[in-house]
Amino acid sequence: MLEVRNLRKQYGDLVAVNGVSFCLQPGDVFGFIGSNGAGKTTTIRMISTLLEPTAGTATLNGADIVKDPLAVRSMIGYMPDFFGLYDDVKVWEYLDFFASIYRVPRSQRGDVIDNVLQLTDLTVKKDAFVQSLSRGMQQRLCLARCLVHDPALLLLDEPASGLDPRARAELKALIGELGKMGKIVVVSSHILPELADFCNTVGIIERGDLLAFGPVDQIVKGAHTTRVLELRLLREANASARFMLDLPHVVAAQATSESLVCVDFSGDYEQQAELLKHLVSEGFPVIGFREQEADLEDVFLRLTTGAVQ
Amino acid sequence: MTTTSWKHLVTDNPMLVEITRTRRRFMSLGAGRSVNSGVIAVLIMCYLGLLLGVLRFREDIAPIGLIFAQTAIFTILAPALLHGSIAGERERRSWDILMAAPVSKAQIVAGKFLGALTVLGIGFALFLFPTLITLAFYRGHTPIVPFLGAEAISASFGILLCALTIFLSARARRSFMALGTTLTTLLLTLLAIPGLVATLTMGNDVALEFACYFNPFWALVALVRLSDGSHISNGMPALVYGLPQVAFYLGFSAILLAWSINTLIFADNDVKFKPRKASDA
Repeated sequence: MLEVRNLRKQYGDLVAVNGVSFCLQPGDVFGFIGSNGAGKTTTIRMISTLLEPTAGTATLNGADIVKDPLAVRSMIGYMPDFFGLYDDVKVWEYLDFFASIYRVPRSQRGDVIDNVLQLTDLTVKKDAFVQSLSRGMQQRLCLARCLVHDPALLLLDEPASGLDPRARAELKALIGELGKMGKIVVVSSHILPELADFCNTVGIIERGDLLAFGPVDQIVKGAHTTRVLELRLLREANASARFMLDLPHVVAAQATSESLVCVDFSGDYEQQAELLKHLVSEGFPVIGFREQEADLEDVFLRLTTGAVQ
Repeated sequence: MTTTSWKHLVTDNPMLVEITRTRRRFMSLGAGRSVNSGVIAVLIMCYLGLLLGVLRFREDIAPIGLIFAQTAIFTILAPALLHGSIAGERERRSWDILMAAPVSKAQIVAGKFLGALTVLGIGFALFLFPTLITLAFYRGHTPIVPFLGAEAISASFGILLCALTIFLSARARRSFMALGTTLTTLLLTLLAIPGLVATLTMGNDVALEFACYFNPFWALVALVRLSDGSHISNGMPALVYGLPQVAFYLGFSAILLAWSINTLIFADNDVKFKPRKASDA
């Protein structure tokens, strides 16, 4: 279990991370969302023991990042937002180097390397030089490196940046698979639709403050007090918008074209059905009536201001 | 060094894999490693040439001459091997990955130092063979004690060079800066300062001897001259040559290595590498 408690990082007057707290269980794939400079990388670097927190702490399976960093390091796989690969070494040599650093017994190293290469689909590149790999393959090699010691927590900072669509899809599938294997996966990104696909928990951070944290659907629901309904009419869109403003639970209604009306609605599904009944009974020619699906991007835009420190 | 720290830094140090990495990096041959293969082929040819030359002129080559050459090679080899040991990790940004692994800063420095020492040790062993041939056959007088002293000075200076390069690599942000600083330091201490002292003191032997005392090449010449019964100057007594210099080199190496570890802490404590812009956070 990863428990982050009031984690704070301050550089002089600049508060990079301001008392972030959250808790993750094995199997959680946590999407850390924020603009550039929001504090995602700083938080991840503190959890990975690379930066000392100004205040607060985090524990991974009982080991404290401040008091026992070496124990924490042996349980984490950290993938920064850059490759950091060595030149002039072969893929297996690179993995062998890190397997030794993580004290994987020499007798098991061959099997471990084969397994992680298989998991990351790099078996055919075992004897290739690292610098000869494509960007996507290098990214997967970095992930393979994170996995050689079977860590409990994976910290992936912008893992999909710079990858082509196919490589992204493969990486997403791989991260999802790691979550199913019972690992805690923390993924930071600002490509929101991507995170929504495979994260079961998200956190939104801005200017060092964690604005929201929880399961994706809960966050999406929690961020919207009203639902947006989209009505399509044969005609009289403006008149129907004016009519609806007087109906209960309609917060706002606006004709966006001659045949389309958008309605902010605060009622439940029963009341939504009542609204449709009223419109039809008044003779408005409704040919479409649907609720716009809110997504993570909407929530992010709603919660954040876009400000950086 | 206590048993615990010996275990931590040497026997139980996972960073000793640096020895394997150094071997793979600099001594692997085959496809894709054509530069390595070329350099190693040239080195082998040079070494065979040296061996043949030593066997042919074994009675004419003084052992100290080979130790002199060995020390000169160490002076080039150590900075060449180690200038990127820490600065290079920072440069290619693999440093963070290493720092997030379960190894201490002391283990990292010790691993890199021992990795370089292995290469230097191989060089030392390779030179020892022809040097022993000349020791056995050289027609001139070569007492064994100054010979051992000279070998000890050469080896300990090699160790000091490794420690100095690692230290400067730990302080620098870029590999070439570490290399430049190391070579400049060597140029200043081995050539420029003694030259300046000699010029300023108008050939005052005592001042020059003080300025050159820590120069291993000067020390090697001094050992030979002292073994002949001659004096270098009227400055320092013969007693201060040999072991005291070895002790200085080793002691200073230990200080530089400890300082390197401390530098890594400094480099990581948000002062030197504090984000300059808010967006870096």
